[in-house]
Amino acid sequence: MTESQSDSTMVVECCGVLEELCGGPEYRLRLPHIPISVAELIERLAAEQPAARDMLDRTACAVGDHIVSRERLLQRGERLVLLPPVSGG
Amino acid sequence: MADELAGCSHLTRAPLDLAVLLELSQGPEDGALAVFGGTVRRHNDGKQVRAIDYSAYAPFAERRLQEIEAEAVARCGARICLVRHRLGELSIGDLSVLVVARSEHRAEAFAAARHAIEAVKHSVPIWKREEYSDGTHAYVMGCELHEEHHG
Repeated sequence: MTESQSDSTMVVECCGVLEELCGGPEYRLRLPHIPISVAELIERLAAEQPAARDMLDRTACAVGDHIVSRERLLQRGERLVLLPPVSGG
Repeated sequence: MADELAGCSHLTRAPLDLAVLLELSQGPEDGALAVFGGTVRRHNDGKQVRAIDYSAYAPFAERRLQEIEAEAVARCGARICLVRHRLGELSIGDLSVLVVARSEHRAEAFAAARHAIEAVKHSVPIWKREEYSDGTHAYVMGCELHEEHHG
């Protein structure tokens, strides 16, 4: 992978059922630009993995241990975590 | 995955131990003790369950479990509330979650335990994948997380 390719890539962490729908616990996404909004990243992921689209609509997003809004701009090196509906207990 | 739970005191892959929580929580001024335990049951939605595999987004789940303990004390008036959740593959009858609340009188202990388990179900990033006896599996669709859990 060239430097420019690696610069335009973000790794998304897929939890719960999204691990199955996206094919693994991590999904590497090529992006046209960074920073990128959570909403745009999710839309690009849904376009690549259409089976996950409905679940992505119900999914919260986190950076670190806090939920972030869909308007939040993701910076280079940040890792978005996808949190589908929870079912602990 | 070995260090996924490093630094987590409220999430464990080991069996939950009620005796440890009773010891940790005891106090001489308490007249009430409420315990809630969640266990893996054999049937769900008409299917025969063989096991449940619990997973979590650990950093967030650990923080939420700590917050829930504090919320249960602050909102319900209990003296102490402890919550522990198990991860990994659990068999029928295994304890998946334990809540221990103590207070001077019973109302506060009951309320704190109830508050804590409801909060666990609604706001902690933990997922259960049911493994069925026919070889299939499915994730249980629970509650959507919202930004109110943005601490």
